[in-house]
Amino acid sequence: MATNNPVYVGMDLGTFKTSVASSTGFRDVLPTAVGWPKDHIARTMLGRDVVFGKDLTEHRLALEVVRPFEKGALKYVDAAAVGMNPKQVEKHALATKLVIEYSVHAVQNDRDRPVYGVIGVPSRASMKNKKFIMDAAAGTFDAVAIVSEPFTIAYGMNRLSDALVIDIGAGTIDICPIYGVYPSDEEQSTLPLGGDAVDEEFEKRLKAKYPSVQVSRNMVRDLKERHGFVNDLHDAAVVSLPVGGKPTQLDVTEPLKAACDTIVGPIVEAVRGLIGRFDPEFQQRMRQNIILGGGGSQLKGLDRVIEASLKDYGGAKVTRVTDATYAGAVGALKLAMSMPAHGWTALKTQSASGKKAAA
Amino acid sequence: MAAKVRTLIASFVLAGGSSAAAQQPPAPFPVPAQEEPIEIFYGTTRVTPERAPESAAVVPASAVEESPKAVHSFVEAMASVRDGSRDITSAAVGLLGKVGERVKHTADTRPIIINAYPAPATQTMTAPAAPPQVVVVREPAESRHAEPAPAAVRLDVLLACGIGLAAVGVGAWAALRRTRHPLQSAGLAPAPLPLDPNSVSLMGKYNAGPKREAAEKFDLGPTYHEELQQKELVIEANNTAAVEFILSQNLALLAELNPGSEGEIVQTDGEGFAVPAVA
Repeated sequence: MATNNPVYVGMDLGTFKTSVASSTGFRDVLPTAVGWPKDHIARTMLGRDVVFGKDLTEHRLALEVVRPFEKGALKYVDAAAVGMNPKQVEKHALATKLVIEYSVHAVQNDRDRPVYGVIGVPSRASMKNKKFIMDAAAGTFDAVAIVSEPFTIAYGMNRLSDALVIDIGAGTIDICPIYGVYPSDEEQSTLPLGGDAVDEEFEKRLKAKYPSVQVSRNMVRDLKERHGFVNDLHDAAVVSLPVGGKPTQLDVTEPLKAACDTIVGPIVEAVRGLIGRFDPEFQQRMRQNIILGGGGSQLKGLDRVIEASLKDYGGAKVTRVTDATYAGAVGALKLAMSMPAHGWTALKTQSASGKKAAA
Repeated sequence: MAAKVRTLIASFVLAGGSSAAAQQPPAPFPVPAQEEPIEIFYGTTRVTPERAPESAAVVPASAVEESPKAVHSFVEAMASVRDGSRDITSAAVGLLGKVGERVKHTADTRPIIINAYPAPATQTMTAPAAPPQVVVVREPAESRHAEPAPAAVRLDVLLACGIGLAAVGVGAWAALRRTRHPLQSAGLAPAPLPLDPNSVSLMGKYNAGPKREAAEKFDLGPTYHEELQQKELVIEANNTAAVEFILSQNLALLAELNPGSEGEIVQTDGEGFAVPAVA
């Protein structure tokens, strides 16, 4: 294996989607999930041992699908807290390893070159969570660095000071102030809710309003992504859904807005608290540079609602990232490429000595 | 008319006391003196415990056979009745009808001899579909002969039922012998599929199918320092443009105020400033 000319990889290992970008000039995104064929027939039909990508949805009835970070498990929430037994943790760890390796393989053509990577994790991920990610990445990367996800977004936009990043993902919402140095854990904030919680709430409210409606979680998520909103001025969301097998036009405006609103209150409260704790000389600058990232940033009207909520605090200016899918991965890649060579060597050496000690 | 009836009766008599006239049961299924084992095949695989000896030569079934004259005569009589070339009484018609039915349901006693089918060298147990079962009854051609009438119950039917039941039993036994791979959990994954050279191998053992082609080219964009430099360059360019604009405006104003002074040559120093004129 060549010791110079490494490949740098930036990865946003999200709860729902994993996006990856490499210094070879390629980037890709795929679901953070692995499917195992349920039996021999399924294996024969699919022609492989494990399944990734859109085949997970198309063949989900023939697969045992594992989403290792569902509801923020293992990445932010402790396994015991979500009721996972050791066998499930082992299975989720295997799924994480496979997702990481498969996604890196998709953007890296030369397997002989060393791979150095930066992976984004939630702002308040514990040491245990970070170790879990590092162990999962150990088989794929020669050296890996773990960085806060919102920080990678800010770095990717070259906003290294006077900014506040809100990364709204499927499992967690991370809020991080950017002021020229790497922020400490206490200065950041992670909320244990996100797009998955909105989907669950929307499905519950939809079934409460239309008891006979037939929807799956995928359908609910799709409706949210297409019609989700939080502001008051919005057209009605009338969609066609099966009721007793018959396609029926249903007005889902009210349950959808109510579900999307569930994350607004916690975000506003967390932003107010964080800005209030910050240096008063820099609070104004921070309020005027609030950046929304992650898939949840695409909720219609969310930026205006946050601005309105900070009116009493002196007003705010909220912008959305231009590319919500790859903002984190590109930022992580930039970070990886800007790290000096001796830094990677130190990481690699410490990682190797840690493995030896564990063995 | 009487002559015809007599002819008919004679035909029946010459049929050798065939079952049609004497209401005797048909010839039973011929059992050879040395009973050969019954071979049962499951697809092309022999499933009987012992191997049968080499088969005798194939004796093709023939439509023309050396059957006793009695049968011939009977058939001829039936044919003539059908064709209307023979006059018989209604009682004879009824009798012939019963005979016809009995003949219809009588098993074909001609032997079916098939050459032994060699079992294939390998037979995997992972074939998904169950091939049909073939029962081969082995019997040498020369052993066929007329047997005396047995008991009232028809042995051929009994034997056919027995063979059918045996076949079902063997089929069930073979199906139970077939091993089935149980549903495996992800932690105890079954043996992986043979790896296609073009497929992706994960952790050295999981076949993840063909290489993913969804990756797209992208531009990383400028780094923080490059962006800062670009910003500085832009600021500098703006400043330069503003200065040049002001200069050109003032030169035009002066030219307007002092006509004829454009061609004046002024001495300058090394930095480009005008040198005061020597008095």
